[in-house]
Amino acid sequence: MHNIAVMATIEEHRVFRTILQAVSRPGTVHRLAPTPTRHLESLSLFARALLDPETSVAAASTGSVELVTEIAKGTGCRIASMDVARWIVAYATSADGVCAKVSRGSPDYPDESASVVYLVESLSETGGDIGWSGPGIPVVRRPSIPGLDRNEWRSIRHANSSYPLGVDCFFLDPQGRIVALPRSTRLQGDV
Amino acid sequence: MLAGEWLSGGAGRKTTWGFLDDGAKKDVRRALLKAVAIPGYQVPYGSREMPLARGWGTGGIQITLSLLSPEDVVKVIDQGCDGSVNAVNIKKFYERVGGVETTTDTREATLIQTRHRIPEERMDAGQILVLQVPYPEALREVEPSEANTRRMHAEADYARMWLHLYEDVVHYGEIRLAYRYPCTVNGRHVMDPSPIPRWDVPKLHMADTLFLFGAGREHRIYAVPPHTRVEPLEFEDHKFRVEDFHGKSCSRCGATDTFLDEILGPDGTRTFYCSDTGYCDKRRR
Repeated sequence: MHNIAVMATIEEHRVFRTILQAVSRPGTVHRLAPTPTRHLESLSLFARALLDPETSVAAASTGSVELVTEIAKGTGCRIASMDVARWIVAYATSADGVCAKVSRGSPDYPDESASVVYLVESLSETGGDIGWSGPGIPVVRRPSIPGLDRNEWRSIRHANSSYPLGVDCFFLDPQGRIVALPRSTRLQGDV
Repeated sequence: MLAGEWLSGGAGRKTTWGFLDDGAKKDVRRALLKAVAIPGYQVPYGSREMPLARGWGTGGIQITLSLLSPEDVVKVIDQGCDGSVNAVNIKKFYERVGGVETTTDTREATLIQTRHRIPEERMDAGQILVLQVPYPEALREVEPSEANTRRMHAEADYARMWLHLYEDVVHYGEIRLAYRYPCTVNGRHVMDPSPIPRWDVPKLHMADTLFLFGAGREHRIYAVPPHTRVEPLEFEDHKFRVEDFHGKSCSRCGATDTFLDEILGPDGTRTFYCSDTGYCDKRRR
């Protein structure tokens, strides 16, 4: 029987494995854990597997400041300004074209870029009107991400238009579901 | 202190799991996500000291330890062999620090760590292959400076690599690379696929499996996601080709469709055996 610390560590391992599967198969829906019912819980699971004092986080708008403060407290992660932070937390409905304002990395180090975590109300593998293609996608996927408006899609597509520079996006819903949209994914259709 | 205690956090306290400290794991994980998002690009990370020498698989071990979970069934292979000292010890290490089951059967494994081979049996979407990498930089042969190779990747300037291969064709009528054959990943980055033989290179192309590459000594992590184009560098009039085992077969299992190791006997006779011992054993059962 493991103690509490070990059980928490093992949960982080499982959560990371799920995130890794999500990012290697963009547009597919995965579940971080069966338990969450709120955005804070989903985000905490995500953050505990990835964030620590070595990295930095920022809120995309005033709406997500409280969440970001909680995450920084819980993980020891630094709070930074949006243009330099490596992790950005945004409510999809008030994200306000966040991908245009964050770091996309440099030509020598495209990995020194931000990842944006969008908090959405629900996620589904089908039903979207934008076609996703590229690495990790056999032909094309059309996940549906309610609450993300045209302006936001445009900001994502624009941020990733000079690959390998770009921004990697993760979408989390209150039930712990996750969809990843790495910069290598091409978005087709009327964005 | 017993080795087991030390491995599990010291003084008999079982407060850690999976050997690495949290900071090390999270650093590797963040690098892995970037690596998958930019297929073939080498992400720098803070490689830690491991309980074996650098160059013996520390990069692969750090990746495996960062994503291991207790449900995993782990297979470790060393140049195709499940039974080599290195493979056996790494497998025992995972049993001890992660409590995972181990196997020699490619199909049973959920996580496979390998040195210099990709298993013969096609892997599926639920599996992950972790490759140990000694030299992550495909361009190192043609450019010794890290600053310059980084700029070459940034500008997608692979002219010198093409010239290097072209000169081989002109001088020898063949590209003299038996392993570490350079490939273009996702139409953008030239990548060193680790010292796998040419035979294994096509297995990376449009696979169902996620491939993760770890170079511990060189502090680099890179990846090939599933369903990703991996194209060996080749010329229109000089195509990439794999090793030719025509007319040869494995002396143990009779296979004619596997990568074969050539064993030279004391009397000069040549015998061939499957390099993938797990597959060879399975065929004999």
